[in-house]
Amino acid sequence: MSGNMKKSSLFLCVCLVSLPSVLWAQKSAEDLLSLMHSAATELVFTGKAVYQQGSDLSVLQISQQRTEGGVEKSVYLDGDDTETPVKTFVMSGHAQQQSNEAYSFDLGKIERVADYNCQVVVARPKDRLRYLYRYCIEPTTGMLLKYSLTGADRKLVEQVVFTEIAIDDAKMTESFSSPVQAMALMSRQIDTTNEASSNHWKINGLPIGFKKTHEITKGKQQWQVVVSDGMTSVSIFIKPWDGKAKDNVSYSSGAMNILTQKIDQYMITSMGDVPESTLKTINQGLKYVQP
Amino acid sequence: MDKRRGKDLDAGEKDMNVDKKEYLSALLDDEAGDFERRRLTDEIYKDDELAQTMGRYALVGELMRSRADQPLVMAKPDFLSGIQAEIAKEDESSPLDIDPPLVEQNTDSKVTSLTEERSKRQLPFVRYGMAAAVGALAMGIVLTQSGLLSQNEKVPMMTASVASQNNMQMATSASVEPTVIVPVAMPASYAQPLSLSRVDPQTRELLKQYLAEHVRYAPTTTLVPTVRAASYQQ
Repeated sequence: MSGNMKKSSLFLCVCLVSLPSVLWAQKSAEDLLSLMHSAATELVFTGKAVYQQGSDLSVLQISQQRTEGGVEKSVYLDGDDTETPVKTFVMSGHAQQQSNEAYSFDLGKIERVADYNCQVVVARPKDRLRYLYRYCIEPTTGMLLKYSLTGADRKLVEQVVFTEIAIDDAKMTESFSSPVQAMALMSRQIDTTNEASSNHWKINGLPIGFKKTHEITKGKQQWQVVVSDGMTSVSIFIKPWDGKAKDNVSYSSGAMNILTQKIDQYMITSMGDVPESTLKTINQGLKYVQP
Repeated sequence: MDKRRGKDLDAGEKDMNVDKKEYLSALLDDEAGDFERRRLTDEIYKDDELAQTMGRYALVGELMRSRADQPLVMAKPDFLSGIQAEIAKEDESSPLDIDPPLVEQNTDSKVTSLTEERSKRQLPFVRYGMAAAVGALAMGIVLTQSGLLSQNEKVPMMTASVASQNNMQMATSASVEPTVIVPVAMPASYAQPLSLSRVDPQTRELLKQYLAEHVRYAPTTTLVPTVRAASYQQ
């Protein structure tokens, strides 16, 4: 066997040996993310978290309970004497599979957060239209224990870290036992008591990975359209222009960007954890389709 | 044409370097994939600059880790509520505290960066003596003039902006319907995002309502939007 052939064989062996681990790692990162998305709408927990956005720091108590309409999540300001939460959310949306076109997923190290071991998963964007996400996920329940978001300039935009948490494992096993089952459970219909699904709006030229997931009629000539790339979502609120509102105004708070634009005779307000340029691109492709 | 191509190449090279540094950071944090790990290891052997950058990153990491045994200082809730109370007070008492128009700032920064760039470019040509200096001076004058011209062109725009601010002040003092605080006279390309705390109450309420709906139907980013939206409610 010549030297070249030996080298080729060795290279082939290395490739064959490393291939399963690469595939396993990729699948495992995606599985963990799916489990995490499921946990966000299924898991019962209560805990204390530190939220940092720029130089602002908040200590919050977060509890999540399952209700008939979905999941109720309450957020209390730590140290507040009142029993009233700062905000209660009923979450009834469903997650979309994360996009391999838009992100590459990697597993990081195991960390210890709030007395739990968690696996670091990094979702690295393939373009500059979205942010880099770093999660630390408890692998059994899918509970997100630590999260950070990094902008294109590599600066930390915001992060959340649980300092203590109690997870109700029993409720979790009642809900689902595998990521696939969890994803199926999450695809249930949205509770739309006063709202109706519609299909009046189309968006051309969406950034890679983004797909329309919801369109909800909010009232006469008012809609909410949601697009998602699996890691982040953008909501577009559409209502007739009243002649007063200002055009082309953008607001920013940490990762969240909000953009209001007048397009045709409508006032469009789009918001999401994406750069402002991405919101502009999405808004520009918005077209009303006569039913 | 060649200059533009050169600029494009520079920009592409810059992007590649940024990507390399990003992956380098991921490599040190043990968060790079196998393929990137192998690719970067090869690159580090070939690229001295990248190897030096890696050395710097590793040093920073070591320094950060060496401080891990020191007690962690956490802000107390009182501290946070004090800051929030101050922000709320500021919102109520001076809702019209608007950043100065950014047009002028942008122009200035542009001129500054051009000046810096120019001075850097001049360094290798110092040995050519007065002729080059005179040339650079002439270029400086031309640039300054063009800067002045562009400022003059923006005068009506700036006046309109000031006028709109005055109108808003009058509207607020007379307790008329709140007005959105927007640098209306500024072209969209110059406008920078406003902080949510600087939005008028009516718009803020509408945005809060939108945010709650956004969180409800777009929960793909797990609990984080919830936490963020709750922080807006405070």
